[in-house]
Amino acid sequence: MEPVKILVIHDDMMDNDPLLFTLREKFGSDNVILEKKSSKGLEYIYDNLSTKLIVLLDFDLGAGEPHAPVVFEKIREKTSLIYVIIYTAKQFSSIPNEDLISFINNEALGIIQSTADISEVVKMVEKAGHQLDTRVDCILEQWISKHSADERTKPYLTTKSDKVYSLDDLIIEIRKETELGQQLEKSILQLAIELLTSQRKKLDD
Amino acid sequence: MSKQELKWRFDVNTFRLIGRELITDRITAIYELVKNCYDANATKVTVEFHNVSLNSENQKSKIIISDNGHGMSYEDIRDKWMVVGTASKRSNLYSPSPFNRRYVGEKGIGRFAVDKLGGHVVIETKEPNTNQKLVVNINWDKYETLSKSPQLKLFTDVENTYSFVEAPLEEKGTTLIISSIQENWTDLNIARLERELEKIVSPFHPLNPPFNIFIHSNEYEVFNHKPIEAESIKYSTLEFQLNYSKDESWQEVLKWDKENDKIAIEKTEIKYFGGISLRLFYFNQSAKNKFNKIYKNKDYRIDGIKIYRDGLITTPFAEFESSQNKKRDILGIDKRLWSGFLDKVGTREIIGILDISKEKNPLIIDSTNRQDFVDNEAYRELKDFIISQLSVLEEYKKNERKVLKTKVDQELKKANLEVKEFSAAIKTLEKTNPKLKQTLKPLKEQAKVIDISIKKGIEQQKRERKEYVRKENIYISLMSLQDYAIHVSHAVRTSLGKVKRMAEFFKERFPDPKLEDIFKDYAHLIYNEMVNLNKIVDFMLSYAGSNIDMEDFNIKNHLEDLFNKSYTPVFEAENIKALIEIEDNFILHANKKFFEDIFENLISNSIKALRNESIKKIKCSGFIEDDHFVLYYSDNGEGIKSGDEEKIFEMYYTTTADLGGAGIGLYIVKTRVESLRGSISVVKNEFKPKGATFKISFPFKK
Repeated sequence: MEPVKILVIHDDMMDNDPLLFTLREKFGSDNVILEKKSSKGLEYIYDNLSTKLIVLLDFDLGAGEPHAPVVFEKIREKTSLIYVIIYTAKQFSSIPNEDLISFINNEALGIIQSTADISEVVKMVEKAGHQLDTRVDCILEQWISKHSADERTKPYLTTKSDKVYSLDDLIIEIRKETELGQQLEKSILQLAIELLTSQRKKLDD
Repeated sequence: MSKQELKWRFDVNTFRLIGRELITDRITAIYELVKNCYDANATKVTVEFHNVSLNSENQKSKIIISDNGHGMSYEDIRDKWMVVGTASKRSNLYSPSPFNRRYVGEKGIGRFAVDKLGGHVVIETKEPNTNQKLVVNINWDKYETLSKSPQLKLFTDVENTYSFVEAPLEEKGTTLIISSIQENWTDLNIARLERELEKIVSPFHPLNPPFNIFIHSNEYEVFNHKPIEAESIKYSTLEFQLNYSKDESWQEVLKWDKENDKIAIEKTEIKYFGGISLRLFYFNQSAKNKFNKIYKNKDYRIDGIKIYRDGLITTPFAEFESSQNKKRDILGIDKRLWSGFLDKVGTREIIGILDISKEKNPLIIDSTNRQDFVDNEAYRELKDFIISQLSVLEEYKKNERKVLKTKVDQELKKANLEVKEFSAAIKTLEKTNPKLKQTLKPLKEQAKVIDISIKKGIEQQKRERKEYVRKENIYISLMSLQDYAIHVSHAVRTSLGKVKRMAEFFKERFPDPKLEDIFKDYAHLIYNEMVNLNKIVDFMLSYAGSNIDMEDFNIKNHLEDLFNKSYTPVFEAENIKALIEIEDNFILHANKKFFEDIFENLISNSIKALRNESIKKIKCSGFIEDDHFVLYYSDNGEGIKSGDEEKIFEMYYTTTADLGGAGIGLYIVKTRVESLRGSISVVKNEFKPKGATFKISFPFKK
């Protein structure tokens, strides 16, 4: 299975911070990336939309750089499949309500104080990783992204209204949680349950 | 005509949340409905009040809002109006052509505003080129009863009757007839609404096509189909108009002219966010008093800066908020905690109208909630620009205070002199007319008493002024601390977080021989972090009391000592050539340590800025210039990025984070200079082509 990548966007973290060290031990040193500039972090995300990605996002990101709410909004414009954990030294009560509402409504996975134990942060990242591995949309997306570029652009599915979708189109539908994307997920889950209940024996492998 | 039924598509909680919670004020409610008319491409809106006064019967009360916009079809009503948070306005930013208006209504909240106003509503709406209009009846009371019922959760069961009625082909628009009005409307309430509605359109940039609003009341004569127009702004102390020219690439800005103690308008380059025009009105206390007297204490009229895009209000979103303290401060004008707070100009002292346009300011982007702009570089610069313009007003305010002080001093002196002349005149009179001695005696005595009182007054004033200065000094120190405390908690947290993670690492892993290098690194880093923390705590403690004694010392001698003795080891270690040239003697009454902090931090900054230079130079020169003692401090390091001249003094603004720069140094410098009543600024660099020069200036004590 494709490894999960962790992108830490933090303007005041050293590359040898124990948190990064621990994360690298757990997830592999190539899979943990630190970006001090949030604009660079966003670039990375945009370039790796089909990677299994968890973002640890600091709140205040230094002069001239977009802060967490903007970064978060920008991520969500492109995909809902990347997990974002807000990691901040800010007192929770000083985070503006509108931002908190936006975090919740756009499904930030969690908010954690930067003075928390490393183990707590790791636990949260692991939880995100687990969800990435089990969420239907993520699995589907990964499955699609495994196909060759050629295969992915070929027509793959025709809807009742005769609209034709390639695998690449489907990825977009899923990422943006369109009606079709949601329908697809639902159907797959139903199918999985059906398989599970009616053909139990065959599922053993 | 046939009667049929329509159902809402939302549940009870939505109703509670949107109808009751979001629209908290009935003025906002009407405001929302008028914004919807704008979105419907109307050019005319009329808000009518019928029998809403205290004396009227409730059964006859009505509020009618009618527009000549594009109206709604049956499908619009069914699929948009009756569905909450309809997406049409969310996916399109602009209304249908040819108007292409930027939508201002808030995602379908407007329709619930109706509920705030009255219990029953009839919607009459008609699209152009149809021969029927749609009439929908909605009885909110029914919903209200439902929302209280514990069993029924959905409103979809409530039926609203609707019908189609014949209407002339050319008629178009929507009319909301709201009855069973919940609260009475006095003329004052309607006047308040008028004040809010007049803000929708910029007074200096009329809309095309227009958007004309009228208010009518059958009870209050002043509102007889009254057109809403922004009144001219009167009674301000100062008024400025800043323009720009895209072709010639200039933008006018306010500048404080130090020589002549007045505000001047200068031309600079067009800013990053594009050209803007700004009308700014400043009200000092007496102007405010006058304004409030004329407008009967409705001081919410002096309400800060509003931004209009293409003639239409953008922010603040003219939500009516009667309490000043609850008003949103999007531009951050009142949030500035400490920047010469005694002379700070707040939103209650200014009216500003800032016009931007879609075409000329494309980098200023509306945020999706339409309550603000997207927080990008351009918007941040625009905010900084506004604040910088206010700081010019602050200079004016400071000067005004100084002028007043001088005037009072002179008048007291004059009075003293006049009393003396009066006494002398009596004496002469006495001499020439000894007979009058008895008659003049009480006058003489009175003059004596007056003379004593005036002298006492002068004395008293001196004492009070001294006391005021003392208090002001304390305030200045304390206020800087407020800002500091906010940031310090963040910085300490960040530092502690780092240290804690490293300590945790030790706790879990020590003594793993494979990790020995990392342990060493961390030990080092923990140490550095502690030094940093210590610096912050020291600075904070410097205000803690016992060591803030003041003393007299000669700047020339002290600086020469510092540069030629104390700092020599540092300069040698860093291979820096330091030069000190102080021409004049100047005695400063200050805390010596505070003074030293200024140079310690400047030098530490220079060391970082000089890290890549082969020849490293620091120079400090000082002399008397007019009524100031001026110090220039320069290095030939990497210099300060243009545009950063103000920012560098902000706390935690650092360009050298990689070198352990915590962004505290220049903040301390500025705080210290200001606590000595001086000022510091970045000026043209002395060592060309590279480097930075700071000008520090201390005023003479009068």
